[in-house]
Amino acid sequence: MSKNNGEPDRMVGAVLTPIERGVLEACREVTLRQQEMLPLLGKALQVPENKVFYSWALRRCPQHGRLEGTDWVYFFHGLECDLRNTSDRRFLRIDFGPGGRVDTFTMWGVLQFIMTSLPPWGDYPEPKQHFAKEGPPFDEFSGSFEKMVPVWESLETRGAFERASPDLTAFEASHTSVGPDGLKHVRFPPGTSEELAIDCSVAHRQRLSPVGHSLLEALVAAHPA
Amino acid sequence: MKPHALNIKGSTQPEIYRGTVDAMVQELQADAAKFWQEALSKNGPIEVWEINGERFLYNGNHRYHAAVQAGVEIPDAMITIVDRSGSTIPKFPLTQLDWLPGVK
Repeated sequence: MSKNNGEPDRMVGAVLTPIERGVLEACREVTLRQQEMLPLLGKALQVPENKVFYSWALRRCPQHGRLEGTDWVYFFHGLECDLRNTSDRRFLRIDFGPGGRVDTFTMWGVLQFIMTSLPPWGDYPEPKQHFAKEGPPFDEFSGSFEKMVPVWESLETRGAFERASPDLTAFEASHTSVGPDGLKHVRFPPGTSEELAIDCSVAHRQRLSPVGHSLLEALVAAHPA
Repeated sequence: MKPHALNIKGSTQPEIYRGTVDAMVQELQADAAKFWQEALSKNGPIEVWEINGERFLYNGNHRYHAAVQAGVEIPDAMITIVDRSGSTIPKFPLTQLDWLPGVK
């Protein structure tokens, strides 16, 4: 919901529910924490930050291990990396975006963050209670996916998120067909690098849109710390 | 699509967590449609790399094994086959995967 000039309607922020506000703030904090943790992960893998994703995606690093000098352990799976604090059970799922960037997130990753985040990171008591499947203590599996969906969809409808790379999504789609087996088959043109092919697999991930950032700014203005 | 009909030869990762697969089997047996819908949103499609004519699991290893164990089909929309011929990514035959206790 934005004005014709692309600026978000500040009133939209005023009508966000407390739960929607919490989720939107958690989206921002997930991005910040991913950026905070990525250098530690790079150090553990002995690669530059922008190579962490590809190190795992091309299976050039251990699947799991510890971040040296911290209570954090990491576990790569799929196109993500789970970080778990073994002392206080904080949990952060890094949902990599194209190029190995970490300004992207998924609904599930944000829900896992909300349910486990504690000081020194942000705490989200009201969303935690709202999304909890059962009473505390909470872990990364305590959040109800079904309860999260309508909140997420409401924020999507407001334009709070955008795709990480619509261009890459379109590129992959242009090289995708449905085979006689009924399955989607992707055949990139010759010379497509492995990194680019992998980037396409995460190009659909979401990040905060300009509208999303403006909503957050409006929240700060309306609810100063 | 029945999992075996995918003709998967192996995986691009060596480890599988028994507890994770078992938990997924329970979810599949309780409500398969709900499981697949949520899994797609959480972790994306099961991505299979076709390397020089042979198929290897790239993303969705635990889901694939859970479907095998539960004896259920995988909805076609949950599967993407990516031609990665020439890729040198490490590959592990299904019969030689390391089944670990616990969850991932």
